[in-house]
Formats: sequence, C-alpha cells, structure tokens
Amino acid sequence: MVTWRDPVVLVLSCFLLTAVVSGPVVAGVDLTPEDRVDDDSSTFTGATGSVTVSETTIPSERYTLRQGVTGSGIHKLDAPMSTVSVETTSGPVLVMYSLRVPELSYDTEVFRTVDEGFSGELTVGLDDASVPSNRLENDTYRATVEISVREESGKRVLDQREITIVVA
Amino acid sequence: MAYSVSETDHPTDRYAEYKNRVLTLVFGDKFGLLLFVSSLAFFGLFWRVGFFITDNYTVANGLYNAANGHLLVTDIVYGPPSGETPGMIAGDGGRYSRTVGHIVLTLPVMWALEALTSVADLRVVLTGLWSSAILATGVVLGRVLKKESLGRTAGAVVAAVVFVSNIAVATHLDGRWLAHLSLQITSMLAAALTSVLIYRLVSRTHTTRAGVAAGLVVILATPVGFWATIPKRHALIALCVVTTVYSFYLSRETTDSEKSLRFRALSYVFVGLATWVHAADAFILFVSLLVVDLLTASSNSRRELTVVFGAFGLSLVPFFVTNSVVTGNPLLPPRFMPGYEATEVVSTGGGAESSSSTGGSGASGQSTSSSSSNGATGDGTTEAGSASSPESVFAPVFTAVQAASLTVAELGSILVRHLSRTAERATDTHRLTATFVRAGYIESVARKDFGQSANLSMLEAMPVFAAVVLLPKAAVRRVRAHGRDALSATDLLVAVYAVVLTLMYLPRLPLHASITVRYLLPAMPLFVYTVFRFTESRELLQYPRALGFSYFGTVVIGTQLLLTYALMLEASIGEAMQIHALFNLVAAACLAVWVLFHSFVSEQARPVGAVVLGCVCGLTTSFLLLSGTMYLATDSGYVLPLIDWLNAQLSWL
Repeated sequence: MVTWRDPVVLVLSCFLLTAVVSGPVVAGVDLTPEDRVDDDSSTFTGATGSVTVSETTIPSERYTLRQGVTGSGIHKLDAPMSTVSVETTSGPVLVMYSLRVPELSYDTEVFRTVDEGFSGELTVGLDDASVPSNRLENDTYRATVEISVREESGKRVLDQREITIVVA
Repeated sequence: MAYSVSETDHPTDRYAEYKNRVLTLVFGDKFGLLLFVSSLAFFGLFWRVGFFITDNYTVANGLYNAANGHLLVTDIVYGPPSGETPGMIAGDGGRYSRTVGHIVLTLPVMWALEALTSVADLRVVLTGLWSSAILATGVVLGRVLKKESLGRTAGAVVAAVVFVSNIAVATHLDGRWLAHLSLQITSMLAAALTSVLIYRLVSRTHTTRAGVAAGLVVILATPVGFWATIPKRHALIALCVVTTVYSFYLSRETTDSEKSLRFRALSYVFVGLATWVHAADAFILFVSLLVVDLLTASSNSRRELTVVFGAFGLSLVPFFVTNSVVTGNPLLPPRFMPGYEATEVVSTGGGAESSSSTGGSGASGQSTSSSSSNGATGDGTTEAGSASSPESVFAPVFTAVQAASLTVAELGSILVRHLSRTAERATDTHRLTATFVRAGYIESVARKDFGQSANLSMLEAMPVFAAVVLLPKAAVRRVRAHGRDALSATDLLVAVYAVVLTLMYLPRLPLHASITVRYLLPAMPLFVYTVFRFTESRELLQYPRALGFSYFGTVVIGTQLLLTYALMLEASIGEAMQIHALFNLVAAACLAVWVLFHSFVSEQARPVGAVVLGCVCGLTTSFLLLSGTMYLATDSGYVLPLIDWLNAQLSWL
C-alpha cells in the first residue's frame, strides 16, 4: 500500500510543489531568475570615446597554416598575438585586428571592445581561423596584419605589417 | 468472456490491473519499462532548447498553429517571420507544415504542458519530469533486482539530489518554446519506445539478456539517441519501422491462425500511421513489407487479404484526411506540394485561391515536377466541385476518378524517375563508401555546412554496425539450413527494408547537415537486431563484467580524454567530429576483426571480445554526450539547468 511516507510519493510531491511555488500562481517566489550569470560584460553601444596608444607590436614570424584533423579538410591558421599598449581611454572604443591573405582571397577580422578608463597592455589575435586545404597550392603566402581602432572620430590604423604565412 | 465486477472489488485493484495490462501491452515486461525510463533519463542530458536544424522551425510553427485549432500556419512564432523555412509548403488555401502526423501526435503533450505552465514554472516542471525519469529508473531497477524498497529509496534520494542541484542553477525558460519542447518530448518518447521494441523483438527471438543488450545498444550506441531530442521525423519513423517488424514477427511466430492474422494486419497499421508522418519513408516500408509478407505468408486467402488490407486502409484514414485538408487531394501527400515562398503575387497556377490573412501564400515558384501534378489535381478537384449539376450524376465520380488516376500517374512517374537515378548511382562506389564507411571531407557537402566536415558515415556514427561483416557467412549458413520459419521471414523483411531504404536515399547521399546519415536512421535499430542475430555477438554477452567495465571505463574516462584532446587541438566542429569518426572507425575495425577471427583465440582470451564491444559502445555514447552537450550546442541552451550551467562554464575553453 502506498502511503505518504513512501519516498517515491514524497519526492514526487516535492517536485510538484516546487514547480507550483515557483510558478505564476504563487507570487514573490521565483526559483528561476532571468539570468544567473553576473553581467560584467557591459553591452557595447558604439565607439563614442577615443584612445591614446603608446606602442603597437605585430610579430613578424610564426604565422603558420597547420593541417587540421585528418578528414576535416581544413588548414588552421596559427598566428602569434599582437599587443597594443593603451595609455588612456575616454569612452568605449573598438580595437580591430585583421589578417588578409590576398592570394587566397581570405580575410578575417577580430574585434575587442575597450571600456572607458582602461590603460595597459591589450593582446589581440585570431580566434578561430581556417582555410580549406584544397585551396592551398603554395608553401608560403604573403599576408597583411593590421591593427586599427574605431573611435568617435572614425577609424584610425595603428599599425600594419606584411608577414609571411608558412604552410606546415 | 469472463468479466466480473463484484461488490468487494476494490477500485484501486481494478486500477492496478488495468495499469498492468497497459504496461504489458506497451513495454512487455519490467525490462522493457526499465529501458524506456532510463533512455528518457539519458536523452534528457542533451535536451537542447533551441533549433538545431531549420526544418524544425516549420514543424514547431505547425504545432503552434495546430494547438490553436488549425493546420493552416497563420502565425509564425519561430524562425524567420516570412515563414519561408524548409518543409513549409504552399497548400490548399495557404501555407502548411509537413510531418502532420508528428504535429497531431504531439497535441496532447502540448496542451498538457500549456496547462501545467499556467500554474507552474516551465523549467521546474521539465526538470521535475526528468528527475522523475531517474526516480522511475531506480524503482524499476529495484523491482528487476528484487530489492524493491532499496530501489525506491535510492531512486528517490538520487532524484531529489539531481532535482535540487538543478534547481540551484536554474534560470527562466521562456514559454514561447512550448511547441518545440513538446515536439522534442514526443520524439524522445518514440526513440525510447524504439529501444523497448528492439528489446521485445530480440528477447523473443533469443534471450532476455540479448534483448536487454540490444535495447541498451539502441539507446547508448546508435544515432537514435542523437536524433531523439531533435524533433525531425526520423525517431518516429524508426518507431513505426520496428513496430511493423515486431508485429510481423509475432504474426509468423504464433501457431494460432486468428492471432497471426491480427498481428499481420497490425503490421500494416503501423505502415499506415507512418504515412501520416512521412509518406515516402512509409512507402519504402510498405513495399518491403508487402513483398516479404506475401512471399512468406503460410496462406494468402481472400479473407486474410481482405482483413489485412482493410486494416491498412483504415490506418490510412488520418493520412487521407490530412492530405485533403492540406493539398485538397486525399492521394497527394504534403511533401509533393511546392515549397512555400513568401511573395505578394498570387500565382494563376492550379490550386491557389489563396486569401489567407498573412497574404502571399501563392503557389508560385513551383518546382517543375510538382507543378504539373499540382496543376492536374487542382483542375481535377475544381471540376469535381463544379460538376454537381443534376445533368449527370456520374460526372463527379468520373472526374474524381480521373483526378485520382492523374495523381497516381504523376506519383508513379516521380517514382520511376527516382528509381532510374538510383540505378545509376547505386554502382557509384565512392558514394557508397562515403555513406557507409568513411565520410571525411567532401567539398560539395562541406560547402553547405560552413566548411565543416561534420557528417559521419554509418560506420563512424554507429561502430557497432561493424559486426554486420558476419552477414555473408550467416547468410550462407541460413540458405543451407533452408529456413522458412518466423525468424527467417523477419530477417528477410529487415534485409529487404534496409536495402530498399538505402537505394531510395542513395541518390541524395552523402548529404550536408545529416551528421549521422540521418536518412538511414529508421534502419539503425534493425541493424542492432541484425548484430544480435549472430551467435558471435551474443557470445560476447557472456562476459557481463568485462563488458560493463570496458563500457563504463570508456564513457567515464574516454569522454574526458576525447574532450581534452579536442580542446588541446582547439578543434573546430568539423575536426571534433572527425576525431570521433576516426576513433569509432578504429573501434569498428577491431570489432569486425574480432567477430570474424575470434575462433582462433584461446578460451581464456574470450573476454577480450566483450571488452572490444564495450569500448565500441562506450565510444558511441561519448560521441552522443559530447556532440549533444559540447560541439553541437544551440545558443539558447539546454532544458536541464545543470547541463546549461556546465556548458556555460566550459564555453571559455
């Protein structure tokens, strides 16, 4: 005979009770808030500030196209990180890192947002970049790396460098 | 029939008896029930909230509108507001979603969820349901192991713990997902029942142990699990196929001719229900069943055929009704209608008196093959409608027959065209290899998958398929034995179905966004049946400890190693899938070598085979878990808060 002390009945009633308590019928109790993650990444509303940069370094070597896992049919682009030394920031700006390989008509861009008051070193680089293996014909490719910022006054190129990508 | 309701009869006893009868009818016994509840608990682990594939928008929108009382899709709640998604068709008087069978079957679930969310929190309700599946697993497991009170207590404790830990990290789940979630629930139920049916079939043809193993393999080591939470037609069709095969087997097994006839008719009923979900898939099943049934039946008397086809005809009624509503022609399934295109121009073509409130549901932009059939039937039905004048009583009948024959002729010509294309391509070894053995990078396919080679072959997705290498040997043995018993007939049905299904879909394979050769999914549970038909595979089950340890070892340790490896490589989706593909291929090769050559190994080394099988299944489970929770996640997260939280924690990696 099933009684109320039966663990199964007990647990099932707990589930139901919790669901109802957290539901619209019981006001004031909500076990499922909209978002539990602390919202520290402020939403970017546009490049309305400006930035002063003391130095930008784009490494010239160690750019490689490395073959992906067998059967994936891609070569992955490994690029060393570039650094931007930021002195002052007034208002939010965008830092853009772009890498172009004209021979492969390949172009990739990575954006970083910089908030007001930031100063120090900022590293930028590729996230996840790959090229279909069957498009690769040469052993090396010329490419251009460019770092720029988008400020209130528009886009400004910080540094640009011609580099060589080696197909590994 | 003895039927007594005495005064002393307690209502709860009658309830218990009724409950037992239903449970036996659906699940067979407690092992079937155990498989059912535990597979639901497993599928819940990778129950995504969002849309995995664009066709899902169509069916979910269809269900939302159906829940509001009409099959016509007037409101678009998911996907692009134009409603122009794959599978949305320009039907009779507006746009409709195909896969209507799935929609109608899901309506009760949708209404139940709607009712529950009006008083309770959706996220907590779903978490509670999943925790209840764990609780049920504990209770049934206790009953199976004859430790009932321990099972109840342990199940309750575990369920309470997972429930509380889930609620601790739970976030709000928006009610607008209701239709999609309901479709996922029916799809999961169908996948779970598929495993139950395979268990019932194999435990009847062989032993209970083989049956339980086969049922577990269907859940844990085939792509059935992968598609359980993605509400496409695949899981439902797989269920219809295994129920058909099971009923067919029962009809041949029994010596009672009345019972045999009943099961024979029942197998056709499931085919009829399959037409409601997907007419082409059902047709493949129908052809296979018809041929094998007529060939292997002990007698095909007129009475028997009348009963069988009468039942089949009745089971087609929902299909015909749906067709008449959607396409205006009972014989023309929604799939043959042109795709819906959002245009403001109302075409002058056939069957388009579209004046729906959303506007622009014309039948413009029809593909050449279907436009002619649509035109023909459109004309036919309008004539039939207008010819109700008293001049000729037979005119409507005549025009209806004419329209029907036109439809049949058109469907026939589509079929012939398809068959000739199949014949052309069945000899293409590249295509066959890419579909069954090694997919890898295929440029034309990858291009449509954002450059990712994310599609596995049959063997890569289901390495346990490797044991089918025994087939030629077993077939020769079988032919020699000259069997014409129930088992042989069932084997023949399974073989014919698998071949017909493959041939029908081969011209379209390999295909993008198919991940695990999903078009062949309905045959995969049957392949598990095939695997356990071999004595060699069943022998491996004699070492449950070796099997269990290797399986759990692979799942617990292997999954972590695989994930670490993928993270170390900073693997893209395509790469991660290929890592699994390669590991699965190696495991499959080991299994194939073992089952072929195990007789050369000494008696003491026999458990090695069980270890191989355990690893094969474990690797597939790892693939299901990692692809479901890591590689192929959707932006809107998971139903289970804990999985959602874990996924977010690992997203920085």
